[in-house]
Amino acid sequence: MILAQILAVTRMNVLSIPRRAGLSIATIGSITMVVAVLLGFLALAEGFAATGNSTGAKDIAFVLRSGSEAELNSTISREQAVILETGPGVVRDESGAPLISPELYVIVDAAKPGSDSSYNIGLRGVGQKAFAIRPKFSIVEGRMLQPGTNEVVVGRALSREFKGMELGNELVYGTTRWRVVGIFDTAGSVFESEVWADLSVVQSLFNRGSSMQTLRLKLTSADALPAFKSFVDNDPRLKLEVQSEYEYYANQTNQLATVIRYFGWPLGVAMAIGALAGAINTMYSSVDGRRREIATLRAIGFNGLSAFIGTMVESLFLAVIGGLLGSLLAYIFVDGLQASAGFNQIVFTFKLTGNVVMQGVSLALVVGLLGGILPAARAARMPITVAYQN
Amino acid sequence: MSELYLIYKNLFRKKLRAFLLSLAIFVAFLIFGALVGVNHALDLKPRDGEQERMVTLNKVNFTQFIPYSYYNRIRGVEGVEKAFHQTWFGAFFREPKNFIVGFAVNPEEFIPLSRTRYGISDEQAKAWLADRTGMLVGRNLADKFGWKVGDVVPISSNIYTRTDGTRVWPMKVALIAEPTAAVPNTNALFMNYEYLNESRSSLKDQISQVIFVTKSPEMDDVVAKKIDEGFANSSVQTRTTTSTAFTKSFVAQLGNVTLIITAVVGAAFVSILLVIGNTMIMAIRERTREIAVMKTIGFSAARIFRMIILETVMLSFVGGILGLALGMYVLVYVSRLGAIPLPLDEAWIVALQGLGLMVVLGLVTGFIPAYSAMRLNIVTGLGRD
Repeated sequence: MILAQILAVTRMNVLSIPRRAGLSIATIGSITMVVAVLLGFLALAEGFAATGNSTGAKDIAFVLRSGSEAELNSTISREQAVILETGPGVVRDESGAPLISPELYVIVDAAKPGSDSSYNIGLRGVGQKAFAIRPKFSIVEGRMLQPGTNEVVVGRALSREFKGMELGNELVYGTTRWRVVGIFDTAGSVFESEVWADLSVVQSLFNRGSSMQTLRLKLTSADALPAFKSFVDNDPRLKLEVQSEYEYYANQTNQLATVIRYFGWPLGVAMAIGALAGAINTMYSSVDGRRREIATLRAIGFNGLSAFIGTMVESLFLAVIGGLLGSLLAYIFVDGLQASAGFNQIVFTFKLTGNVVMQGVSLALVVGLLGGILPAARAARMPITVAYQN
Repeated sequence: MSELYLIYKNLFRKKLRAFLLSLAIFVAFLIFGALVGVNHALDLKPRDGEQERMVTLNKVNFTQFIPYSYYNRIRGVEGVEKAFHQTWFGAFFREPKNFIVGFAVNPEEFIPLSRTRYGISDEQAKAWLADRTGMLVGRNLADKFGWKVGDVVPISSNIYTRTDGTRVWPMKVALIAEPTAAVPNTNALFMNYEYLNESRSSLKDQISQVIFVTKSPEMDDVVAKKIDEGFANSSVQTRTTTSTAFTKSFVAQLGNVTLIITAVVGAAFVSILLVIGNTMIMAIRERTREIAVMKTIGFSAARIFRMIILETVMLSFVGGILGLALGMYVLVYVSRLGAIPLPLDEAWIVALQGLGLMVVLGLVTGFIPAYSAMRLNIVTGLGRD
């Protein structure tokens, strides 16, 4: 009985929305904007974090000078590297040589189409083992660089986002000219935002002697990391820090992703308060516009609960439409958008994941819920006498 | 005056509605005040009455070094008036997470170029020059870690190691720079380059940048070109730009902030335009009979139009001014934390833009209801229920 009443009133509420078309569109529109803006920021954070999280392996020990925090600030000497390769769990190839990759990472300028600023991008000096420890690495265009030459291979994401990074082009850093001989793919990782060159050539060009910044050591498995770490911690000659390569990149990108989320949420909530004001206004108008209708229903025996729920459903209905439209806008304009950000430009694509959409729609539902409560209470308490007023 | 009172009464006849609309407008202007202020701050311009500083750095990238000898050569270039050099220290206090913006400079040449920027007195200058482990500390930074003048604090570097193998440089707080109009976010420290260079184990005699002013601003381009051409055939080449151009390109690394801010503020305003525009249409429709009566007793169509427009403008000022004020306060607060270098003495531009936008918002949302009220036929108006 009550259920039938609720259904009838809800039906009346929803079907009468066109009578309040202007205000209803305004509510839907403002909720759409809230959701689109929030999803824009969340998709940015998600895409950026996803790039970091798909970088590095858990079974690669990543060694930095302690206190240096980032690859750029670190230095490791030849002598330290020699000690490190004797550590427990380091994989050796058929010839008995350890699978380790000393790397030098410097920042160089690059240009973007449509901007006159110069951007920081990473130039990584690598040896032959760098490719062996990264099974996801593959050349997708052109060929591999030849050791000892001024040849470079460019990450796929970088070559799409920046100027002059195409196959066959020449890059000039200082007095040295480099030729792009290949484009590489690393399954969407941070490395695709870098230029790779031969280690010894980068060392001499940037006056680094034989020093490196980081050392990557392939371990037998991720479980071998703690033992290797305590080996390094217990050697007083090594003031170095060990973590898994995966962990390093996840931390680096998650910091920025968190900042973006901390920016997006307050903004989304602030806009939601504005939209909420609009929603409450619309729902009060809805209840006021149907005063006699509601009172008449009460007079013929419908209870207050059905009026309450009818109004709530109308409010939530508008909110859900707004939430879905906002998600659609974000999907059209933001999802898959390529951009680059960070101190060393990391190229990433905005990712509108299901989880992100859920967060946006949830915010819309909260607006609908809060926007409906007070007007619904008024509808539920509508005096029956209103039905007889002129 | 009585007309304004009538408009005011109309606006607040439904108090809850007026409050809700003001709240929506409040939020939109809060966002406007906070974000457009950032946009304005990022649109860097040299300040009035202050000569632009020039920066010479490694052409490859600003994280690369230039040899110390370049400093002397640049000082000798014709047209260069005063110069100092600075080197990024990668400073932190105790833990790497307590990251500090820190440079090593040569104080005797840094001071003449930075006196007004950091408000350095003769006494403070003397105190700094007297001790090679002395450093200049910004007020925000000093407060953050509770440092006072005379304290000796351990500063570490994430780049350098000392020749004795340790990582810590004990430094004495020689002077604390209070915020000035030019440098409102005093979150940096400046140490003595000699102290760093004599004790670092690597990169000896390498500096990050040379900063200088020319004898007159017209010479800037010529001098910059002369410097860069002078090093064109050296192993380390240079790029010389104005410091605003340099900072702009540094900020550009963050991503296209201006575009993001424009999109967000745009979205916020589209939604309040919808809400307020539609509510006003409805509010005026409710008053149809009243307006017909006003016309009957002699209110002209133009006057009706004006009254409704003024009502929506008044509405956007009520929420708008409060929102703008709070938004700008948020901006000032963030600026104090040192997150963005906002030239606060130019904040009035943001305020003026906000006020202008309130007028526009009022005009746009009021136009349709005002126009239909103006065109209202008395007979149909009176007949309508």
